[in-house]
Amino acid sequence: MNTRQMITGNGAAAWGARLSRAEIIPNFPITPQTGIIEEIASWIASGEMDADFLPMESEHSVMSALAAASSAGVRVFSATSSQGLMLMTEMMFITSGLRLPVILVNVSRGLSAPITLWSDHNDALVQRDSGWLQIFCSNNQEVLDSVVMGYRIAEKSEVLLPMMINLDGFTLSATREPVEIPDQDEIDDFLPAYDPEHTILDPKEPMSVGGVVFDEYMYFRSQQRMAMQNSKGAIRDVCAEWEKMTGRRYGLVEPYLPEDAERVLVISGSESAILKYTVDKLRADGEKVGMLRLRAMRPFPCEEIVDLLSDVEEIGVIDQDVSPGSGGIIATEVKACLGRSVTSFIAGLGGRRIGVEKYEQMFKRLGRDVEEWIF
Amino acid sequence: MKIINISYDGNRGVPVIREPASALRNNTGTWRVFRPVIDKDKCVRCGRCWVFCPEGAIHLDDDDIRIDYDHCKGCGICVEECRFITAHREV
Repeated sequence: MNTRQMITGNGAAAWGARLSRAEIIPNFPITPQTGIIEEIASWIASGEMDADFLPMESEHSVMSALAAASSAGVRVFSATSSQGLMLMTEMMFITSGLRLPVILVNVSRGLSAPITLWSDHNDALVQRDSGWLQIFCSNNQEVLDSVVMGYRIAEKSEVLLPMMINLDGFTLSATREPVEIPDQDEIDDFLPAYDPEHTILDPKEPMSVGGVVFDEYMYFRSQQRMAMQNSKGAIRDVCAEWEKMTGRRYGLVEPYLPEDAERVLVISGSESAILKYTVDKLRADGEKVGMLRLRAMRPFPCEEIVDLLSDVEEIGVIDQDVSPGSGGIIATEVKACLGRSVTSFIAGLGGRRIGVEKYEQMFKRLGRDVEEWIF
Repeated sequence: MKIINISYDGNRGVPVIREPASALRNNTGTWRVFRPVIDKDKCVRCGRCWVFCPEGAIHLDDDDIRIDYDHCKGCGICVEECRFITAHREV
């Protein structure tokens, strides 16, 4: 039977791995992620979860172990943050290149230096070209749901790519919210055991994984590109199935966008909750505003953005990240989709509070082709 | 944006090798700059070069030892290990 519990974002991620019956959990501690592997460690110790817990010597080794175990046909899970994700970088590309449906939770935290423990999206966005699917969550329920749906999507034969589930450090990772925990039998029906054919180290049918290629390299990269393209349909299908089962609706984007909206802010992650509240507040005063939350960062939901925002008069994009020398990363991509200028706001770096007043300020300052830092 | 000239090939598009020993078809001997040559008059077929060759490009039979020049990359480890193997620049 489904239960409802007050759990943190980290707890929700751990529940996602447990319900998905991940069998190998290589791990390395880092704030603010450590709660996830601690929860899993306690379940393995008490016998509530049947998995191997592998404490590794670094995040690079964690990602190597994830790739190796996945190649052996096992469903795997791990979690990291910030600097840990950076150390995984080399193996991230290998995991996606070998087309291994690994699920990694990233509890986002700004990058050093200077050192910050608090959330922004630069760590995850550094990996946007790594060939991983990336989902940005806005609440703890979505974290649990995204992990379970993640395996279904990543393991589909038309996808076969790893997926990173991003949740904001502290705002979600350490905050308790009521979360519906689905019944294990229900998840077992939704998510059958992992049974790969494409990459599997089986002595009975020998296969070399990770060989050298010459001119064929470009072909395999094209296949990865197509797999990522296919993942859009896979995400839509799996989300529809999930909605039928749980009543909770997800997709590549979350529009909070009444039809008459003339001024819209685009955002991702948990800060969207306060933006929704701001939208409600301003609409009560008769202002025609709206919000679009990007849930999938890879594949980038270009069709949805064009479909929903083409007729909107003024668009602003909030980036909790920056690419020095270029600007807000998401703003750049939204502009490329729409083929028109947007107002780019850089805000909330290193966990700096955004809040209602700053959102109201942003709504007032749309319609200019500028990059503005909201401190 | 539509992608126009590539299609998805499923499992065939995954970079794994399903046929054992297919690397024999890659003629990596063309990478060689220095060619190791065994002095057959002095060789006692101790097998030291065969043990150290990282490419498995040295074949040790009951009464013969020979280098597979189609696959020897010319790393020079056998030259280092045995005084009866000398390196000669490929012309």
